[in-house]
Amino acid sequence: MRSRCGDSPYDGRHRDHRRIFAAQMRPSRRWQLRFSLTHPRVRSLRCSPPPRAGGTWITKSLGAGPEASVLTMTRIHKSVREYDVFARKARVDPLHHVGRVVAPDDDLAQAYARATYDEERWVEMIIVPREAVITVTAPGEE
Amino acid sequence: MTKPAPSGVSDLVLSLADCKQLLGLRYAEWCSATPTLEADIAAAAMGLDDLGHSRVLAGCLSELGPDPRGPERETDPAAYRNVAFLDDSWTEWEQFVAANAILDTAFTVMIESLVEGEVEVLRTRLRKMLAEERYHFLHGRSWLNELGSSPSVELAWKEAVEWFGPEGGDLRKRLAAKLERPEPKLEIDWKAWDPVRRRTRPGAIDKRTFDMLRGLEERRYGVVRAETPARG
Repeated sequence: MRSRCGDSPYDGRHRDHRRIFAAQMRPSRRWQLRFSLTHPRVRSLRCSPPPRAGGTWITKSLGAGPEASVLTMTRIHKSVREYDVFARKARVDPLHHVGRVVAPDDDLAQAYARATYDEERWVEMIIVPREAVITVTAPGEE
Repeated sequence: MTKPAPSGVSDLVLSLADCKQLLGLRYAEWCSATPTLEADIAAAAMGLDDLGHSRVLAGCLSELGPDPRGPERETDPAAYRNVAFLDDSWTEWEQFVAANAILDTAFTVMIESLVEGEVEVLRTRLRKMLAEERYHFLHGRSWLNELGSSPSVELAWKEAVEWFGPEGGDLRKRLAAKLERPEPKLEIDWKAWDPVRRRTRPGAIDKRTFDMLRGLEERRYGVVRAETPARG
């Protein structure tokens, strides 16, 4: 039986190893990167918040062959901001916090918020840059 | 009584449906391979949106006159009326961004034009797409600004202009205005333009994608059931 991951019709078609990510990788590297959330090193990278003052970090494959599996990090966005996402399902409901997104600008933050928190039929969704929030009281304060 | 659709509208809608279907599939191919986790999720969401739009557009064909889909779509990949940029899987992130920013927006510009037009079924059914496409546009434009110009962007722009056709001056201006970029100076050989496929470049979608569109790719992974002997 033909394996879904090996013996791919894409095998050997794309030789440019300078690319950052590609959907069509040779099997060994594709396994590692397409299933990056199960790969310990990449999972910790992609599922953790990016450095606050830095940028969004991505992995980059080095080397010229399929055996090259050394991963290093490179910066794709010069700087990113955190946004809190609020939404409500009905006009009578108050807005409530549904999550957060990290993006380099307001446009991408809107697109990411809509794509990530689209599990309900919201009547309203807003995003607020975290830096615009003024803390009145914080946990642990008297 | 509703007015009959002008001739050529069903051909245009089929081309739009094919482009949207291929665009959705190409987005989906990248849904675990983009530079950031958020962009992975956005790729998956946009892929679903565009596959849905394709279904809605194809559903409009029965109300636009004779169906332009012939039996050749089962045997000839060149029967699909997609832009050449979508023929093959993208190997570079910048191709994704070029298609997302330029081609997806070009299709939206055409949908806006159809929504503003006189064909009632298109005026009513396509309106919701514009709300969803807003997020595709924000995503594409932002990443385009991030990456800047590239050969993929230039190619996507050329193919968008070709897809609008030789009479698409207003659409070209609207696309440039939306993207807040000047119209590029392009040399297009309109004599080589295929008015049915709305492109100049020959070629067709790759075999694997063609098989997948016809349901053949999935069958390879299906469970083979042993034939049950007939009861005597």
